[in-house]
Amino acid sequence: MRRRFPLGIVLVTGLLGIIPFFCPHPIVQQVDDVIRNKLLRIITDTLQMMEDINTYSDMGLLVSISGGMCPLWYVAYAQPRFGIKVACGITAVFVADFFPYLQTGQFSGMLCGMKGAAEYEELVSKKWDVGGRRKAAEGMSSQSIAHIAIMVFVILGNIGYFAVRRRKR
Amino acid sequence: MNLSPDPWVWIGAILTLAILSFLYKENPFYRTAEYLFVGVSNGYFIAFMYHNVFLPVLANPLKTATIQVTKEGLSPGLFNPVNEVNFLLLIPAFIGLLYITRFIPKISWLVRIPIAFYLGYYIGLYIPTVLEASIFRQLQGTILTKGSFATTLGGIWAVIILIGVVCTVIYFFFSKEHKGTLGAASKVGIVFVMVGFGASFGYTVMARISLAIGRFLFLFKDWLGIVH
Repeated sequence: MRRRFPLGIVLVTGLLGIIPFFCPHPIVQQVDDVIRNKLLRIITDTLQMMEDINTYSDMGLLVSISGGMCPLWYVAYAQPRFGIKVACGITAVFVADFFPYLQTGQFSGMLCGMKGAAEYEELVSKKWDVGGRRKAAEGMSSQSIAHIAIMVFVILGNIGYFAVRRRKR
Repeated sequence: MNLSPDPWVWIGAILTLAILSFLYKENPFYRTAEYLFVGVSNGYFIAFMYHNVFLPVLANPLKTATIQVTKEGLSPGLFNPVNEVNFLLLIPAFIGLLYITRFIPKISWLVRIPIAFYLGYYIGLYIPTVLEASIFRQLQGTILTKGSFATTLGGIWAVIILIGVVCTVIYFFFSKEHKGTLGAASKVGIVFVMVGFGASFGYTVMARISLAIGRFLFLFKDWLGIVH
């Protein structure tokens, strides 16, 4: 029998263009209803568990899954004012840029690209017995081989560079 | 081989092959797929903004306000910005419409007004938050405290980070010639910069390879059914 997640999780997709409503602007902060009516109602009006969620302070953890700089918006706007914990799942391109924020504790956790996705699949599979197709884990062996191939090319390129330089001398 | 019967998978596969055909050279198939992608993205964005921003934030409240006026007449509540339904929404709507004046040469200067509002708003919003999140907190992360040495490994990393930050900053300090101690520190700094670039490159490669793997898995698994 499958175990259930012990926490309530709300998946909000497609937050394009509505971050300004969500930001802790002084006016918005005083008028929680503005956030509620103009943002949360649009996205979560059918969810009972969102009834008492008016601002970031009411949330336990905000996880931003993004292929861009979106998670930093929450670290910049929501965290200093409301003290909300922020975690992120990002494409590998941004991992090097985001690591300093993990080190300072501004991100509570970070899923790094396909490797992070595969680790997460492993975690939920083992801990919560969640089944289904594991797309990231499927791609990891190809990923590792591609990395080794690129490392070999980098080494060969460097050997070639130094060989040509020595011949010129 | 177990070909997919789903027409959407076939459309996806054909478009993927059309994009990949660019590896050979630019061709009409690639261009068709590219234009389709741009068109669909734009269409999605416009529809998203229309349904999630324009209608609920501007059009519907104004419609409700107009109905209220016809039924009950004007009331002070209809000019209170705190209320969701209010006529003051016409002001930002009017300012937004000024973007269109760009197409009328005589009054095209009016476009500066919405741009000024936009820039002013975001600069005001950005400066304090970026200072807090990306400068003060990051500087705080380099400070060595007792807690930094709670574990041996943590202590070693804290010292490495401090040395890395200081030396990298010295490398970008051009007001004095990089000689002696300054020169040695800047040389250490460039090593940290290179390690940083290397890590960025590695992760970028990982991201691109992930995308390629995703596409090939789609082709060989979902479409052709060769891989199981």
